[in-house]
Amino acid sequence: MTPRRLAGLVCAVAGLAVLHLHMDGLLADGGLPLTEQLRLVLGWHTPETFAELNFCHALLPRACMALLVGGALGLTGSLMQQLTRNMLASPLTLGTSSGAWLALVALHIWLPRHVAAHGAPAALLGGLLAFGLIVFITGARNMDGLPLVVSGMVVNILLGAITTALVLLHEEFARSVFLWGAGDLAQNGWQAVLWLLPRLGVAPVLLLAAPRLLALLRLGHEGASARGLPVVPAFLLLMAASIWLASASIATVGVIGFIGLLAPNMARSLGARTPGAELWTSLLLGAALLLATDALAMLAGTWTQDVVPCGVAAAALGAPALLWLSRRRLRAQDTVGFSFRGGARGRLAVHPVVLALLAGATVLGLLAHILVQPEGGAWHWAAPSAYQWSVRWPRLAAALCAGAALAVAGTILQRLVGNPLASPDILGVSSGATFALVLAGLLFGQAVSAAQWPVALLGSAAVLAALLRLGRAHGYAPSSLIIAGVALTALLDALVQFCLARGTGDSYAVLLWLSGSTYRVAPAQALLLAAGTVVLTCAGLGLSRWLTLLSAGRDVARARGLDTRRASLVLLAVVALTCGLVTSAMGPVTFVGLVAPHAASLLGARTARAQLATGALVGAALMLWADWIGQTALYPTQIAAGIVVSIVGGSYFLALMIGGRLRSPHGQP
Amino acid sequence: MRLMPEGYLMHMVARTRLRQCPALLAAMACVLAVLLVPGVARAADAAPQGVRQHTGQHAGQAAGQTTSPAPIRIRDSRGDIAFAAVPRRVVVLDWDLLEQVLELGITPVGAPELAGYREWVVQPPLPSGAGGEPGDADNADTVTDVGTRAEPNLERIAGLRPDVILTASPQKDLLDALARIAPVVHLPNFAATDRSGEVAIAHFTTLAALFGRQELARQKIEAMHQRFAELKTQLAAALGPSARVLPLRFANTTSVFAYCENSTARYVLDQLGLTDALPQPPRAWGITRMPFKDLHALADAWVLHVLPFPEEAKMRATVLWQSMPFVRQGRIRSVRPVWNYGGAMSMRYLADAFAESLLRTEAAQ
Repeated sequence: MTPRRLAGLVCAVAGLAVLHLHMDGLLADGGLPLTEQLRLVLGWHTPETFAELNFCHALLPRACMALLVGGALGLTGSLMQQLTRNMLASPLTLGTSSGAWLALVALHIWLPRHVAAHGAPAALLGGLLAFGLIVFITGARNMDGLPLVVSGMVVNILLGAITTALVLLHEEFARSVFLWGAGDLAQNGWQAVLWLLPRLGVAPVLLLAAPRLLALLRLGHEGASARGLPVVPAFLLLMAASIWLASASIATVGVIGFIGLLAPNMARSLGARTPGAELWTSLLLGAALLLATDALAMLAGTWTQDVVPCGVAAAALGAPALLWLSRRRLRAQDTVGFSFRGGARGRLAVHPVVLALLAGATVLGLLAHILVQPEGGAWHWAAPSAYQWSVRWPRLAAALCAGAALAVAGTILQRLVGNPLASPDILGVSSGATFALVLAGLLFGQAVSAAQWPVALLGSAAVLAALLRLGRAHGYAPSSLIIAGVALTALLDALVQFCLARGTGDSYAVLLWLSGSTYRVAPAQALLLAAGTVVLTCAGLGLSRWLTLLSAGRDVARARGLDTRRASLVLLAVVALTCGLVTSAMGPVTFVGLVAPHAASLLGARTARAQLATGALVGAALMLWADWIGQTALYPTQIAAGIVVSIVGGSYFLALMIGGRLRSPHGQP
Repeated sequence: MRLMPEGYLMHMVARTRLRQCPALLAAMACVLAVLLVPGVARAADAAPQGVRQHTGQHAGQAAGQTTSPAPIRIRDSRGDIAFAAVPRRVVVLDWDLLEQVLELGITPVGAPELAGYREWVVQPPLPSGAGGEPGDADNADTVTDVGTRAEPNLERIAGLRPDVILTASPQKDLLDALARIAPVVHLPNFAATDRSGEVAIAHFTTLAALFGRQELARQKIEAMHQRFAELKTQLAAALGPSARVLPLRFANTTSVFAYCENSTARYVLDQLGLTDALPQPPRAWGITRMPFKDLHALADAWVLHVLPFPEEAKMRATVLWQSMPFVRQGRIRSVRPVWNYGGAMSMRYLADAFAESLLRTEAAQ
């Protein structure tokens, strides 16, 4: 990175800032000429007219906010990517946004009086606490690399599910918090900037001190400690400082993704090689990106006659950019690759007792579904009436089949990718379904409803087609497909937040769909799902030999005569079809596809066939119980099975990771 | 080293036991075919139906009750429905209809989210003791909570043995499931095409016809219009004829929700002889979001902001707030919390709240 390039970048940021300040004037009447703006900035002229006041107290702080937040996010992103050595780490990966989101929603629901005074501090605290939880899970010694990213992901899903449940149960209270979730930079005074500014005081210290530490850490732990660096404290300190910066930014302006992810990647592609150069370039690029994004958000807001929050614009620009980056720069080693040690290493087959217990749990779940009568004060057992049966059986069948199908899809995908953390929902197929529904709702002004499931299926199919097209270049190497899924999911999140922020009753329907409930599964859909599950499970079992070969490595598989490209294609199609089927029936359901295969292998199902079968059983039992708990815990109010599964599955995962850390002496899970 | 494609494929089939492959493809085709069937079935369901006939009462419920000999015919959004008798046991699945029914003096046996109703809709109050377990469901004065508006508990509703189920737009895709319990009357409102105020009054009249309370409804509507007229005179005296008013809610400190032309707020403005200062094209749910600073062009207009707005004190301290013309002229008033998605009579409460705020003399800020 030459000084000349750096100077060019500074000029670009300055130019974008000027453009940003002019945007409002270009879009509406009453913009001020540049000379007038300069006189106001320099204090040669006191603002009097509305245009002048607007410039001094709305536009100028907005531009400053974009500069500060963009710079902070870029810097944090770079720091995190260097620390974790993962090019997909971003400030939002490590629980900051989900923690802050949960804290704000809780504040709005239970302490609405304190929203004005304590909103930002609460969000900051939430973000920091979520990070604290992640540190507790991974252990301070084990903070670099994948365990950190993985626990971040799990904490994100867990907290996200809890927040969604809260919002769904307290719709009216949570309504005012939605705009924050969408990430809006609009200002009407300097208070927010002045609140944020001192909290960003860590940044200059980081810029001065971090490059040396990062350079030493690049040598690896042994190399760094050999040169006298206390590795763990240094690592923890840097990470805590960057989390602090990210949390403070998010607390002030809301969730703005992608900036912290893109800026460091762009910095590296611009030729930033040393840690210091990458930090500085990312900082400048982050500021430039956010200024440009916010200017575009203003433009889009004028076009659509609506408030388009910056976070939505950032996602709309960032998702394609991430895809482009994934094509150009990311290789398989950059994605999350991770394995649990310990567990049932010795066991090579599922013990019959375990199988019997699993089957028992499933049957018990079925019986609970069918026979328990929560009505009338005291719960009791009784045969369901004809009407109860007609309401219960489609839900029961949907839960059972969705669990089994997702478990099969998860097993196939995990073996295909060679990564026990791959979950079918991260392929983006479920997100594609939801995306199509939300978009159709936005364009045609309809509420999202389960009756539109063909739209959902169409969305899944479109994503699948895109994935296959995209994957052809890589021989269907799943890592690039997963990045596409991540990008699409983030884009979807932003779109959903945008819908929620519209504040109408329809936005609530989006959230309801996202929670993954069996409530609206019609008998025809249940039958369809059942048929699909049977067919796809049989397909999975039939293809288990391919899976066995692929798990042994692509080269081995090829040497044994398997056309790995074709096998990947077919297996991927099975996974995507399953996801599309389940999502169109009951909305996106996370975690089953992740947890069930994992639990199956912990129970001793080592061969592909055994893992598929045991996983399906685990998944079915899990979904069945989640659905039943969701229906009965707050009777007559219901919680979606998808939410219950996320909370249960997330807790299971966290327990597993903490347990793994405590068991092994070096804290390596 | 590649063989001929066919030979290669054969080789592979042999090596990998691909016997299942054709079966797999056939199975996938089956899945796709099955996927399309319910869509067709759904299209068939949409066939127009004639008058839906209902006996109106559960067997065994009619004893000792006077039934009108003429069948009751009402028209909901899906067509004509005939009831042989006035339905006694009513389940209401949305708050606006719950409000309408309570105004008609009917106590439903089931309604959703009662705690939320008490918190947000407030008026008219639910009968005390509502929300109990359905153990005492046969007691006609008790309202049982049936879960959320979007996902009401079907089994509990069925257990309440209703004579009629009243539904609104959030239950649009549940109509078939509910129709298996009891006759369903579907009265949606607040779509972009609904003029919410007029639709709410039409629903009120429809419900009055269903429950045989037309006289009460007529009196209430008349009283409401009389109240509008009184308030109109008072407001004209205080603010001059057709004063320009902008009702809104703050979304946060930088953006607001303005009420559109199809909202109940706009209906109330019209009835009170006030002019909408910033008319917005109709939208679903009658609100549209806009940046707060866009209000700077409002000259000589009153701004009514509906509470709650937790960040109000913070907002008042900002320079932009103080530079707004309506703030400088002292023409901004807060309005006590009112429910915007209510029934016909809620517009009377809305009008009272608006007028109360506009007539309140407030020291210059």
